[in-house]
Amino acid sequence: MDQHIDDSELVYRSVRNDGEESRIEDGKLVIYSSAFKDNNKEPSVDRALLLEHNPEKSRKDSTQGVIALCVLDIRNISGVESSNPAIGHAIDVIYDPLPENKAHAKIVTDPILGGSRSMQDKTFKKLQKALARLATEAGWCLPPPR
Amino acid sequence: MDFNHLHSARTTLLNQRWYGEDSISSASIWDRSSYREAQPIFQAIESAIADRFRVISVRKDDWDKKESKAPSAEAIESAKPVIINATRILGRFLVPASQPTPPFITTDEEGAVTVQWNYQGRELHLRFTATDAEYTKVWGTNIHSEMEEDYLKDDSLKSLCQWLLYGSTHRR
Repeated sequence: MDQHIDDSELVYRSVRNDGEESRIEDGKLVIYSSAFKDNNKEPSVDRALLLEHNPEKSRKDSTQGVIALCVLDIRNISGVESSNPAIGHAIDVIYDPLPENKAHAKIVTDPILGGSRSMQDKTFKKLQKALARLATEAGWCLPPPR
Repeated sequence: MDFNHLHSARTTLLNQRWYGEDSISSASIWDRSSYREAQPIFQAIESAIADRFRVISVRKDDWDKKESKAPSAEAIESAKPVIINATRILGRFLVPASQPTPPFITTDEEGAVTVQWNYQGRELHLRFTATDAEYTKVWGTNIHSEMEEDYLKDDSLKSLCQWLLYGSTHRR
């Protein structure tokens, strides 16, 4: 299976709107790194292309909003090539279809960026911050219901 | 409320806190009435922080349905005074003309207490575990060239606040 996703593709992620993952600061939406929690350190996203560019299909809960990120922007979070030929970039988005979600992809980090376990943890924390910043800059693709 | 006066008061207080009493007297723009006017805003922010600590203190494992651990009492106890202290430093200069916003306080997957301040494109993050504390400065999305992290030391809080406000630890 080809895991590659083009730089130009968009990926969606559903984000809570209850003050735990996003809120309004001084009149502006801010999305926090808690929106990209993942115990496997591989945050899930959905390929917009495979959801007919309909973010509603990515919304996990009727109270949540959906953000859209460009794959190239995610890859540029590191800007370093991967040592693993199966992964093009040290931080990459790869296709990972699930039985219940054919659009599923995940954001992965090459261990080359981390080294030790603790350094890998630190790298993931920084990845979460970068993703949150990208999401904040992008704003809602599909706002939560009022 | 006259926010121009508040701005002057903030500038003067900044001088006082980071550069000593001499620069206060030389600045000679102290506006005590404006500072007094802003006190309810500072108190509201500190009250919101206290409320937030009450929320995170009672979290159990998997509180977010994402398998995050409950925060430890030690992490909470070490975070609280530092966040209040930083907020007191920053609050004097960050009173906005609109709705003031307390820092974003939560707990992460490992149960560490985290706090984030945003100001003019810069982010200051602190993270407290049961055993240590660390900071991350963020001014872009590149994890190699636009973020900086280290352990939080007793004497580093002021310079971190200064960086958040001015993007530099040197006086402009």
